[in-house]
Amino acid sequence: MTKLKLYGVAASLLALTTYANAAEVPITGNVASKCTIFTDTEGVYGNPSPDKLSTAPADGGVLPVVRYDVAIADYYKAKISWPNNFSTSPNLTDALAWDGTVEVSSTSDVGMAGYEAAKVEYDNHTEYDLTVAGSTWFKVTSTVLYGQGKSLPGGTYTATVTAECIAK
Amino acid sequence: MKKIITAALFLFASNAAAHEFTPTYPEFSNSFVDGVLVTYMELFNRRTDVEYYELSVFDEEWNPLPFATPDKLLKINYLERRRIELFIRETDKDKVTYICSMSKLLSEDVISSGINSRICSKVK
Repeated sequence: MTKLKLYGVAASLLALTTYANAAEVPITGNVASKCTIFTDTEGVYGNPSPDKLSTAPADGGVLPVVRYDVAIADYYKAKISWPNNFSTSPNLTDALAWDGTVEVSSTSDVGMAGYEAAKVEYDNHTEYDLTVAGSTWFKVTSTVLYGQGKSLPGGTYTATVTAECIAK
Repeated sequence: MKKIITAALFLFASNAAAHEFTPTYPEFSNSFVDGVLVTYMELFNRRTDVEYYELSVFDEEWNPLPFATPDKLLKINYLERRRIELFIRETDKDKVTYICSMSKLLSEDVISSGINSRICSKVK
């Protein structure tokens, strides 16, 4: 091999080495649309009077709190339902009167300020259009009255809130 | 700046448990059986209080439709991610609108007021 050719090979190797040293390692990512439901706080019923159970703090209860995270705006709606029956309870012989409300308790974006005014309520369901990406916290109040001035029998009472995220 | 810090504190301080079901808009393709279509869903369980999830398929009016998966009631451990194969009849292709996963709470795990989570993807 002539000297000229050797210089050529050396130059090519140098060029390649330099290229390898200068190479950038790309990091790619993809944010897909998705909805995640977080159970922030499980509620607890308070028993402010013998015939009433309530999750309201004023009644000694703890409000259940659900957080919705949506990665991309306007892909999902939230549907939250307060309970209208007990999952477990002692034997009850009289009627129960259920009531509840769902409210936005906190948001991660000022654009979500209109959620509360735009909510749709029917039966025991409340729907919110998740038109802004980010996190929204919802608090659920649930109350139940038993019979006509009757005391609730002693025992454990449990009920469940249903939090749904439905693709639009 | 204050708002960002507050939001970050909220996100990291809360002892949250989550349920995730993707993709948002699944698509069906031909399966290895004639007349049967398949799609793939992914379920991620970050709820410490839930081990079981139930799958369901609905039409536009929320009427249940028949479908097949290896398990309709899935046992998914905390922090487990599961890829789910879901089959439908080709004749139902135009009817299928929602594919949902719902958490199933065990009665002994609910203290007073538990939270059921349900996420529904939409077939367009």
